[in-house]
Amino acid sequence: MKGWFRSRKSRESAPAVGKTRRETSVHPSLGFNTLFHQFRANRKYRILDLGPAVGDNIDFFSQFRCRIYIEDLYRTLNSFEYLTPNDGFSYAAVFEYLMPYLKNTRFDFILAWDILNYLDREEFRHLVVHLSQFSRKGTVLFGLISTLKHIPETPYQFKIIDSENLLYTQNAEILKPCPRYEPSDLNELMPNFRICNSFLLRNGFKEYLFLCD
Amino acid sequence: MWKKTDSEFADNEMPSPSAVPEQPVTEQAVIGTSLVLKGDVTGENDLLIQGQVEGKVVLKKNSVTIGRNGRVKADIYGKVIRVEGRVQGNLFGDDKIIINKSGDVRGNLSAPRVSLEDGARFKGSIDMETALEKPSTSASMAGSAIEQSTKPLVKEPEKEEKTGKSGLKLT
Repeated sequence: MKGWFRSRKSRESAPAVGKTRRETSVHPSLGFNTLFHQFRANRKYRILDLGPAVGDNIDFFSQFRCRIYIEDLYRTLNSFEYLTPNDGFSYAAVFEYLMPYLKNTRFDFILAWDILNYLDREEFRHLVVHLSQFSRKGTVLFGLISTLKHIPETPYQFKIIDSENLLYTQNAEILKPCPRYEPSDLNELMPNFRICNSFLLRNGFKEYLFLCD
Repeated sequence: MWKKTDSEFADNEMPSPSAVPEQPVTEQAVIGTSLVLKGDVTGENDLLIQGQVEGKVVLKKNSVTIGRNGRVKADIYGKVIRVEGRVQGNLFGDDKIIINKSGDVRGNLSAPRVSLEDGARFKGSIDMETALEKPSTSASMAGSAIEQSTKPLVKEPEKEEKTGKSGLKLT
């Protein structure tokens, strides 16, 4: 790997602010349901899943003709050994290395789940720049942004039960501060995408459907 | 004094080989934990890999299993591919691919059926065609969803190009 590692301090800077417990719960998802209704039977889709591989989700999408790309982005980003920054450090190069798609790849749907809450502003911005290169006009990005003060130390695992419900599994035992990205932040960090739909859930998440312009 | 009848001969004597239908027996070859193999693996045996393999594995009519201790850097072609260890490479299953909870795969998967157990690690792409014979609830919901008039978030790209308008509809 090239010499563009990030300082470990910047990723470890968020202190624990409390404790939580592992839990699993089912929540209705208006956002996912809206996304689901965009699928048509006669098309082949390219889906990018930034979360970890979940067998049930793959089973769910197998009803469509699609190619699904699974990135497990949070685990991948955290598997880097962080050293002090060298000259030439570039977020663009990091995402280029981690997500090397063919130039003509264009995703129809991007499932960000809650991962955006675990990126700092620069990571967020550069990730979206990278994804924009592989999005077309009309690409839909689905993300859950937390409105709570604190979030579990690690992202939830989301399992698709059906087109209307998601199973949330949370394995972290420590809470950390949440960036609480507002719509104005999202508009700034995602210049090629605009908010198409949003749904505020009782569990503190706000589901967003972003549309690539 | 004792005279065997024809039927007794038939009972007591070993049947001739041609009378017994031959069952196809596929032996399983094993690449043991201490073995490091660099090159192409081809043949007509089922294969269990517990060691290290670098190159290519082509056993299209057979099952290929990467055991818990297996470390493979290769493209794998098999009828049924099961991963319990670590693979860096593309998997092509004529029948199915199974990634066990202890499996860790980085590469692309192509098979009519792909199964990932909870806990399995995977990074790459999975090429899926519609499982038309699959009687799932979500599939029937998809059918009903398509028949209902739903407002799309955006027009189909082909239509956009024809009209030249963005024509975005919001729900």
